Amino acid sequence: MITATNNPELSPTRANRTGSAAWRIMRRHPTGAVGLVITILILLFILSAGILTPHKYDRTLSGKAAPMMSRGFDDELLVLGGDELGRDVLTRLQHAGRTSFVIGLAAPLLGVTLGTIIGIVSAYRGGIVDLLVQRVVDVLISLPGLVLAMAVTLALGFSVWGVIIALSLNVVGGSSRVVRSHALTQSQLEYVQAARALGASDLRIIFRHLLPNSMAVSLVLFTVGVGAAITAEAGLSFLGLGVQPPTPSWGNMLTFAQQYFRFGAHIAVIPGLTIAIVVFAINLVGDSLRDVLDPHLRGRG
Amino acid sequence: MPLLEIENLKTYFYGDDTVVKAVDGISYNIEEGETVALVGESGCGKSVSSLSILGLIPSPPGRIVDGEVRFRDTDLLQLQPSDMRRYRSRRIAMVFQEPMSSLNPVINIETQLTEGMITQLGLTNRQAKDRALELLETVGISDPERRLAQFPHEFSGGMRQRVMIAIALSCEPDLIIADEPTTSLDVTIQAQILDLMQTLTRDRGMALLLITHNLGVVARYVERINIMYAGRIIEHGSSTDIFEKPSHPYTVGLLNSIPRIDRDTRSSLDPIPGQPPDLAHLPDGCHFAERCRNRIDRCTREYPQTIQVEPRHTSTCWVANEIHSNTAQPTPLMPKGELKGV
Amino acid sequence: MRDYIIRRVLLLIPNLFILATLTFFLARVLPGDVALGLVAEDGSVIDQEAVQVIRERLGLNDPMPVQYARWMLQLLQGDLGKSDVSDLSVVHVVAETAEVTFLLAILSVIIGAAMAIPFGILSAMMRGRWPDQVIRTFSAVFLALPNFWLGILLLLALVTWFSWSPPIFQETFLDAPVKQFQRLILPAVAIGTSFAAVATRLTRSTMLEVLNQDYIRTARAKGLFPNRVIIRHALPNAVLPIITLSALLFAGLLNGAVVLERIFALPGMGVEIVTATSERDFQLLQGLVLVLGAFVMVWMLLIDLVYVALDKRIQLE
Ligand SMILES: Nc1ncnc2c1ncn2[C@@H]1O[C@H](COP(=O)(O)OP(=O)(O)OP(=O)(O)O)[C@@H](O)[C@H]1O
Ligand code: SF4
Ligand SMILES: [Mg+2]
Repeated sequence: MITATNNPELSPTRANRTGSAAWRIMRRHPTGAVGLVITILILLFILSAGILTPHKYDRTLSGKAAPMMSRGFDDELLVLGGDELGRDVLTRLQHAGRTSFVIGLAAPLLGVTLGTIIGIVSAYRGGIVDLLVQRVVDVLISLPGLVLAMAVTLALGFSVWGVIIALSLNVVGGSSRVVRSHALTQSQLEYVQAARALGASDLRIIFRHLLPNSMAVSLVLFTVGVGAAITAEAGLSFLGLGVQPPTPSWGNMLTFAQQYFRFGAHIAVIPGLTIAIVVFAINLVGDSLRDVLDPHLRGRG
Repeated sequence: MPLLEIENLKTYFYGDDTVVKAVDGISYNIEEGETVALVGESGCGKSVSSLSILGLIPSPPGRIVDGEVRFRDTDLLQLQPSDMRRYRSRRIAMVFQEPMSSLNPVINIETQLTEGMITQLGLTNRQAKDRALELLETVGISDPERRLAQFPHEFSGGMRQRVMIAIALSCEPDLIIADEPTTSLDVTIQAQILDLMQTLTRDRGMALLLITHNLGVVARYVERINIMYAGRIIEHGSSTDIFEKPSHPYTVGLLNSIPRIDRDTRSSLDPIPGQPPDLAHLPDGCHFAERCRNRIDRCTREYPQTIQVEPRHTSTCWVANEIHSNTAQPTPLMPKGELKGV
Repeated sequence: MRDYIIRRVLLLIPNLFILATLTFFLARVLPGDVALGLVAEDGSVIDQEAVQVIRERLGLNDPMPVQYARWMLQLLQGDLGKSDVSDLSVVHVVAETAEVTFLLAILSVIIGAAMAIPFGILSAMMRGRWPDQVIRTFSAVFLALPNFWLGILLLLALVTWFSWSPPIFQETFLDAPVKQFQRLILPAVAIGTSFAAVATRLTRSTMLEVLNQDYIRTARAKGLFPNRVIIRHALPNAVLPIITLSALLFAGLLNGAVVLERIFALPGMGVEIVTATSERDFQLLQGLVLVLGAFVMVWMLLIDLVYVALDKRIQLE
């Protein structure tokens, strides 16, 4: 067993050592580093929408589903071809990526934050509070996620925010359960008991001890949630309940393309592939993060 | 010719950017039918060294990087896995440290006790079962017929360790390695188990390697003792020599921390201060230097040489001879009577 | 043990109550109601009077607490009510649609487990070597592919290359098992692969954990053949957690297959829920969600209890 003290990843790193620690972690987890690089590249690609874009995302430039590397009406080059309305797929991917990423980041951020708070409070208060909160969590977990999301988007309208809130609800139940069980073991540890005995206030114990200790778990949950939210947004779009046009998202690109398959498979393959690559890259980061942060896996024989 | 001869064995664990030198060049031997102890604090590499003998080191991250383990002239470390298999439990059997987790929870005792005999001795199920019944009786488990059909969770810790001993005996090995067989048991049961092991191995002419972190416990049972510290053996000698003329500051420290009735009760117990070094970052010089009362300048610079203080008594310390002549006083330190519970 | 079971079963009561409440409000947060849809369907201008008549008939004009009380009372009598749109009893609709949904989930789990369990075990045994790397890479890739996208691609491939399209029919599984199987196999493959991606990892990590146990070391120290160590000593300890995890994932599949049902035009509960939502068929929506949610809850409870009952180590405590 490698104990906490001789594990350099765990010992508190000073600011000037953070860089080298990050470098060490990257070297130890090359797949995570690769995932991070891919994610950053895709983010740059997306952020350059409107700045470094070949065309306008909402203008028809060619016939239906023009093939890749073809020329539009005015001889523009369509690198990834045109979509079902003859708009440039590459440009649209960039713009759509913004929506998908905003949703992908915001939904789990909101959901995991809520889940963490609920989980910690439930674990710390225990008793009747815990009992009641856990009943609601039970229900949230067993409800069909998409149904919940569907109802909420319909209620809130099809805005990006509507979708974010809808999808964040799917994360709350599961993440609060995980955080709760983690916090339960934490709150039984001596230092928390000691802090309690010394008369530290509940808020102080939660903020000084339990919350920081749950951060690792929450961070992993968040990373897992990003990929899931991007995929779920696409699923919602598919049912006609996601972000609505004219705002493009990877999900709705995929959806509308579906009817035009026969004209060119690329318009469905490309957004799907993009989603897959992004989720893949983020999962790699998440896995490495889990390796670094999960005490169960650390020092395994 | 010794039954087992270990020479310069090194087993390291490779982390991402550290190397844990769990066993770093140990040598000792065991004669046929002899009982030998390997003693050292928790984490000094006792288990790793014994697992290395049978090729049971988890790999990765562990690797035997050097040394020889000669069993009647065969170097076990050179064997193919399939040949090594034949030595396990047939020639060398082990009793592990953790009786609670060393038995498979979903397999009944009969299967766990007989499978080794069936594989290694070629017994039929019937023969193996008959022997299993005998063995359970031998290790002091009553109603063996009923017990065979039970599962580990129906046994107490002491009972499970008895089952483990029965398993170790089952293939009539030449050597049994008992890795802290009693550490996790009650004091009263500890003595029972050790007595049992001693009687059984002695009756059968088996050699026994008794591993422990408690020097007091082994006193009555063993002929020779190897003291281990931070991956190396630092003192070796007969049981009497070690108890009466300890020649290494660490051994002296260990002896001082044992409560004994034959010693002046006014001299209080004093455990060795400090912690053993991190095996991944060993200091230059003597590994014990940081905690040593007899330290001299040289100690922190050079690893000490092994000095023969008496014909079959060695100590790896720069001042071994001085310590030896100091401790070799006429007052007998060797416990004659019972040990106080430890 | 008995206390534990009783406690868990008793907790179902508040859970079901909360579930019923939540489904009720889930339906009420939807903008509009069924009446608007009913009237507009005929193409006629929305006739306020007709709308009011319908609302009156369905009790939608009553204050919310009254509607809620009515729903709860109705449930207490074991009645899921009738669809607001078609007038069919909700139980009837559930019965008609559940078959496809459940068969699809079961088939997916079978396909997924058939891939995941051997690969996961192999991966664990070969840890760090190339078969492990290959399997882990594949599982990471399939984990990232949205399963509905996989479904679309599969469908597309068959449609374009073999001009095959999924059969559409009304018979039940018992009447036409082969046809049913044909219709379900593609989506089941799509879901099954995603499922396998998760399950392979779970199997691998469970197996690794088992291989790290002291009793495996004991088995090896006995000089048993490596095959016996794996098959007789490791596997039985890994099987229970693996099956448990798969069973828990099964519940997720029931909920997650909506999009695939839609793509493959399968008359399942997911599609029915989407339709009910868009038509604001509150009774039907509530009924379907309640049944699905309750099933998942009971299922998870059962798995838990079976696990506790089977695991000898837990029994001890
Ligand atoms: N699988 C492993 N991976 C990494 N390091 C290990 C592993 N097993 C043992 N070690 C290291 O080897 C060293 C020696 O361990 P070992 O188990 O031999 O100690 P021990 O003397 O048997 O102690 P104890 O009395 O507690 O059983 C320990 O410091 C530990 O850090
Ligand atoms: S060599 Fe020096 S430090 Fe080491 S044990 Fe001897 S006296 Fe102490
Ligand atoms: Mg040990």
